Amino acid sequence: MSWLVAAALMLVFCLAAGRSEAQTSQFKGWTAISRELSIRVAPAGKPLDLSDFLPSEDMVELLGTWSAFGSEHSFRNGLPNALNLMIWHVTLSGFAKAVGDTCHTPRIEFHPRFISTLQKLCTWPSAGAKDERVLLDFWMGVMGHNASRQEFEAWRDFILREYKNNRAEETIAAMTLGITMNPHFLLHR
Amino acid sequence: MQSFSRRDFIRLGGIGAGTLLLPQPGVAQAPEPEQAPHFFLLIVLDGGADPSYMFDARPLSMTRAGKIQNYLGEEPGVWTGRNGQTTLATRLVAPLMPFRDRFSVLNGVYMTPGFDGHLQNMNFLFSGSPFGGDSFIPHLNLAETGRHPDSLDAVLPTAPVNVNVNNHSGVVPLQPDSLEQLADRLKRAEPPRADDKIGHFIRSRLTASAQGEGRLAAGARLMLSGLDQAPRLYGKLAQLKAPGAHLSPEEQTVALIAECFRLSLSRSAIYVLREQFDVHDAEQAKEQPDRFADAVSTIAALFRGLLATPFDAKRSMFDVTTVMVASEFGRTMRAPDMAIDNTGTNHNQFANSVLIGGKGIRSGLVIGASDLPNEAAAASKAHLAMDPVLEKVMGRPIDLRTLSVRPDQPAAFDIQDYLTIGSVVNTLYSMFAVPKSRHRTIGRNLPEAPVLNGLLV
Repeated sequence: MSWLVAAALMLVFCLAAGRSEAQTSQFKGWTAISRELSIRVAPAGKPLDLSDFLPSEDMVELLGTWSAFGSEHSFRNGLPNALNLMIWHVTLSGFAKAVGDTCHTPRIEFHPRFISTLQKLCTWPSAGAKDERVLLDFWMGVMGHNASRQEFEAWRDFILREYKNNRAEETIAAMTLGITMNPHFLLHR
Repeated sequence: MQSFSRRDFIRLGGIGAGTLLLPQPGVAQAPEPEQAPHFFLLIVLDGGADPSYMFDARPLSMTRAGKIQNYLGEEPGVWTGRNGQTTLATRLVAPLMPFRDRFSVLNGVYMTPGFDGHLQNMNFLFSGSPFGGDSFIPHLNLAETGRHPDSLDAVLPTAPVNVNVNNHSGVVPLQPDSLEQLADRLKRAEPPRADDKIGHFIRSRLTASAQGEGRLAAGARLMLSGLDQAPRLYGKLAQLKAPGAHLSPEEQTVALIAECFRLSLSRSAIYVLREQFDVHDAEQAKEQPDRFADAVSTIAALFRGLLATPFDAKRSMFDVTTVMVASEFGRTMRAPDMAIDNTGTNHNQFANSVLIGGKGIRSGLVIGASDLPNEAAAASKAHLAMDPVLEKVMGRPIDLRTLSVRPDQPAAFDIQDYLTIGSVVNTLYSMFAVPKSRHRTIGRNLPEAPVLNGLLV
């Protein structure tokens, strides 16, 4: 019986221990973001290697990581601060530029459906590239179901307004960065 | 009982002295030098270090009586504070002897009385709650202290550790060996900008998400704050010079901390010693003399580096930095049912030791004590209520106004009779002018933990 009491107490303590940080969403972390992006845009069995865009490999820990100490598991460095925000920005800017560069010098392998969307966007500022369906496909391709329709509309209106005559690669880079720096994309819900 | 003279300690300390050349990095100009710069360095002994191997030692007669393990096997000496209070100290603290007038020893410090886990007590050290929450370190960097906040609340210049010392917004790991790569890559990368189209858009979505009270709103607010500070931080990081590879790890650390402080990059630094002090197992416990010797040597090297590294033309880093050395808790005297010469130790949250010195601190004092100083000493009823099997030493009651140990043996445990980590943190708060509204209480529905005014200059 005592093990049952101990287990119950442990559960109570674990739940309580999580309470303090339950008040603030933390970054999902490098591993989770890499996995999410890979599932959405990379070819099957060939996950994205985003580490090229990191300032340095050992910065991964700064972006949110799990650690274990005995039976105690905690998520560290997940709370946003100036440094990890800057590293995310530098990293995702590099990724966004590489997505934009796909129009002329592809550096990243994508799955066929995402490539099809990108090919349409590479004709920007053509009317076809600005089609609602194309923009929604790109949004869903990167953001998934993390954000509301309202977020999509704000992003779409911004791109159509501010990038209406820009070059395709510049526009796609801005589209990508605008999605990936969104808190709905980077933070745990 | 042997008594260590100052000369003995200097001689012993000299064994380790001179092995570290003092770092002399180029002195960067702080972009906005403060009139009264004040920084904080916390040195953490990870795993719960046994104070009896440093400044709360016990006579060998206690070991012979089977009360407390002692793998050093040497009689400790008497360490006398400027305030006339004494404690027993082992020879392992000898490297700190040259700095004895630069720090004070606090013994018998209570952590959280209700929990004895690592996580809970490390949380308690940082946040005042066993379940975590706001760390005290970012509070030292708030605008409400009257200072312009530095870009980061603290840097953690040591290798990744298993403790939750950095899981607080604004407290970030920044190690000398990764710094060079980071600075180099950042110089080539585009910093986040608020004045371009995409920067405006990102900010607008963060602002929209930051409305309201939910978790995501709180996270978005932190992102927004980070974005605000990022361009300035970017500029400072680009100026940061990586410490020379020829320097020892401690020298590199001090050089990095000095750079961060001078550039107003961070207000505080947290240095986690690499030794692990969680010695439940007898074989591990037997390694304590070596582990403490290494740890004390590192602490002494850090002190030496802070003294030798200039902050500006007039002041050393030590002059502008308050330094604290702490663990999450102390340890039991022994483990039950194990031979005294073959025992490990468990967690003891009732008697921790803290060293504190540097800017704003009256140094050279001995404050507080733990009970059961010898094999004949009787435990109070308060002690027996909390630790009926007498596995642990416990802090003795203290007069927090005069900082003198009380002679009485309380019949019932009342945390208000004792020196708590809350008082230590509130004393730091007082020095850094952190508003009273943030001061810790002694416990739930209890008054504020008293500031140790006698510890302040």
